[in-house]
Amino acid sequence: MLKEGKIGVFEATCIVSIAITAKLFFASPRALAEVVGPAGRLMHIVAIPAALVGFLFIFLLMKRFPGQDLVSVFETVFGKIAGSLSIIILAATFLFNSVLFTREFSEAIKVYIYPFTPPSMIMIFFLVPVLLMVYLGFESLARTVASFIWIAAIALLSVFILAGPLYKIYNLFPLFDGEIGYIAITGLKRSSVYGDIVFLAVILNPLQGIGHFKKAGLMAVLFSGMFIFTGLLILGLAFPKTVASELTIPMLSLARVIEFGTFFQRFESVYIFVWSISAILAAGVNLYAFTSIYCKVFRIKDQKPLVLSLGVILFSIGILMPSITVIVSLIALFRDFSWAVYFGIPLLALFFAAARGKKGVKTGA
Amino acid sequence: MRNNLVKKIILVLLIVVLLPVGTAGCYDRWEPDDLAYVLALGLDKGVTDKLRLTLQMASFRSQSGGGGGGQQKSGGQASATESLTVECPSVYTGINIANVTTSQKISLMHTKFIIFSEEMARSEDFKKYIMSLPHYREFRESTNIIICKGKASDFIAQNKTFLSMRPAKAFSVILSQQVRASFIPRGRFFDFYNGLKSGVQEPVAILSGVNPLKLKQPGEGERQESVSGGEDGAGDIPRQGGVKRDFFGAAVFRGPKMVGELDGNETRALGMVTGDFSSSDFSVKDPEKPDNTVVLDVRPARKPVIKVNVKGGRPVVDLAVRLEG
Repeated sequence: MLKEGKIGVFEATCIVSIAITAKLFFASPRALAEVVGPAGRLMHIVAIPAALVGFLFIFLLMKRFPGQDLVSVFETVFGKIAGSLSIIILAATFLFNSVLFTREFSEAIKVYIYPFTPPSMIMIFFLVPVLLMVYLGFESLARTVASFIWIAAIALLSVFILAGPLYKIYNLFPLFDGEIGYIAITGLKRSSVYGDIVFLAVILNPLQGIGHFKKAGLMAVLFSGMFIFTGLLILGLAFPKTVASELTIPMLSLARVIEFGTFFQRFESVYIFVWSISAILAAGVNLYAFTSIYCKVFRIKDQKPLVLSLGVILFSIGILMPSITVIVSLIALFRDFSWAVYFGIPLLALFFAAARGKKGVKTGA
Repeated sequence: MRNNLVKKIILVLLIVVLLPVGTAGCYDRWEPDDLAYVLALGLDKGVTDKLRLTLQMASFRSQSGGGGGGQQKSGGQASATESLTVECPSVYTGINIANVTTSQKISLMHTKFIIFSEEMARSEDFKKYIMSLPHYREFRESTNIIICKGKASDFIAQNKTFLSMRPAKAFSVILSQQVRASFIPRGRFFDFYNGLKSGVQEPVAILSGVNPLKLKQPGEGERQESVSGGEDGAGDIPRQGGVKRDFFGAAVFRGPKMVGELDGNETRALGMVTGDFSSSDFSVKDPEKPDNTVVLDVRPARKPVIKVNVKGGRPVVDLAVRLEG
C-alpha cells in the first residue's frame, strides 16, 4: 500500500484549488473569450453548479463504499480488469493535464520572457521541482501547496486590485454575447475546469474520511469558482472581447499594463514568479494524481522509483507537441470533453453500483 | 545513516550545479549595457521605402570625458539621447536595419513614446503599423501613442529634456504631468488599442507639434480675450524658452484613421465626458466685472453619468457632469 500520510481539509482544498485556478494564469481565458466573448464569467455561473452536481455523484459513490478510495471502488464496481482500465483512463487524463501545464508554461515563458531558450531547457527546469515534489510524497506535496497558496492568492488579488484604474464597465457588454442557451451548454462542458475535484476521491484515505472529503470538495469548487469568476470578470472589465481573444496570456498582459507613476511599474516581474510557482504546483498535483492511481492499480508500495521514468515520459509527450497553436487547440478540446472522464466515469460507476446493488462494508472505527 | 549522507551530498551537488545554470539565464542573457534603449520611436511615410523610422535612444556615452564611466559632468549635465533614421518596409525590419549602426541590441523595453506623423495617422497605412505593435514582445502597452503635426523625425529632433537630467524619466513624467492638467488625453497604447478594437468607443491620441518659440510682437495679432487658457493647439502655444516640443490637445480617430483634432479646452471637455478629467485651472471672465478674470481650480465631483436612449430611431444622449472648484 502506497504510504500517503495524513492531510486535513485545508490542505486538500488547497491542492484542488491550485490545480483548478492555475488555468486562469494561462491561455484558457483567451480561448474562452473566443468562444463566449465577454460572457466567460457568466458561463462559470453554469459551470460551477454543474461541477457541484458532478461532485455530488462522486460523493454518493464514495459514500456507498466507506473507507475505499476511487481505485478500489472502481475495481469493486467494474471488476478488476474493467475497473483498472477505467481508472487508468482517469490517470491518463491527469497525466495529460500535467503535460499540458508543462508545455503551456514553457511556451508562455518562451513567448514572453526567454525567446531564445529552447522549450526543452525550460521544461527540464520546470520538471525538476515537479518531480521532486512527487518524489517526496503526498504529504510534502500537500504541505508545499498549502504554504504557497497564500502567496499565489495575494499576488492574484493584488493584480485584481491594482488593475482597478483600467476597468471599463462598458467592456462587459453585450452581456450575453451569443445565445444564453449556447453559454449554458458551453458552461456545462467547461465544468471540466473543476474536474480536478475527482482527485480527492483518489486520496480519500489520507483525507481521513468521507466528511472531510465532502467539506474539501465543496470548499475547493466554491473557492476556486469564486476566484475564476472574479478573474474572468476583471479581464472582461479591462479588455474588450476582440482584444482579449488576441492575447496569448490575458492575465500576464493585464499585469504588464499596471502602472502607477514612474515608481510602480513592471509589476509582471512579481506576477511571473507566482505564475511559475502556481504552474509547478498544478503540474505536480496532476502528476501525483497519476502516480497515486498507477501505484494503487499495480500495487506498487513506493512511488520513488517511478519518478525519473515519469519525468522522461512527461518530457517526451510534452516535447512531441509541435507548437503553441497545437497546444491551444488541444487545451480547447480537452476542456470541452474531459468532463466525460472526470465526472462521467464516476457517474457510470454509481449507476453500476446502484444497478448491481454493490455496496462497501461499513467498518467500525 | 551513511545512505542519508550520500543523498544529502548528491542533493547539494545538484543544487550547486543546477542553480547557476538557471540563474545565469543561458540563451537569453543580456547585460544592461549590451542593449540600446529606444525612448521614442517615430514613424513617417518613407521616400525610398514604405516607412521612415526614427529611433531616439538613451545614450550611455559619458560626457565627462572619461573617468569611471560616470554620466554627469561636474556641472550636472546629463547624458543626452542619440537619434537615427532609417527607411524600411516595416517597424521591426527597420529596427533590424538600425541595429547595424550600433554594437548594442536595440530594445523597445523602455520606449515611452511611439510618434506617428499626422500624414501617417490620416492614411490607410496607420492601421497596419499600429496593429503590429503589440506583437513585439518587448513592446509595452503602457507606451504612449502620439500624433505629431508635421514630421515625426522633426519632432524627435526637438524632443529634448528641459530642467531635467535624465531623458527616460523626463519623458515619462512630462506626459503624466500634463494628463494631470487635463490638456492631453490619456494616451497609453492600452487605451488606444482597446478603443480601436472596441465596438463602443473610438480612440484618441495625444497631439504634439514643434513650437517655433516665438512670441508675437504688439500689433502682430495679439489675442485680447483669453477666456480659459486652452484654446491653442499643439505647436501653437504662445511661449518662448524651454524646448520646442509641445504636447497639447488630442488627435481624434474614427476607427484606425485620424479624422480631427481637439485643442486644449476641447480635450479638457472630452476628459469630463469620459471621466478621465482629473483637475485643471480655468480662467473665466467675471460676469460682474468683465475686466477681471476669475481663476477656478476645477475638479470632478462625481463620475459622469451617461444615459443613451433611442427615441424615434435616433439615439439621445443624456450626460450629467458634476464638477467642483
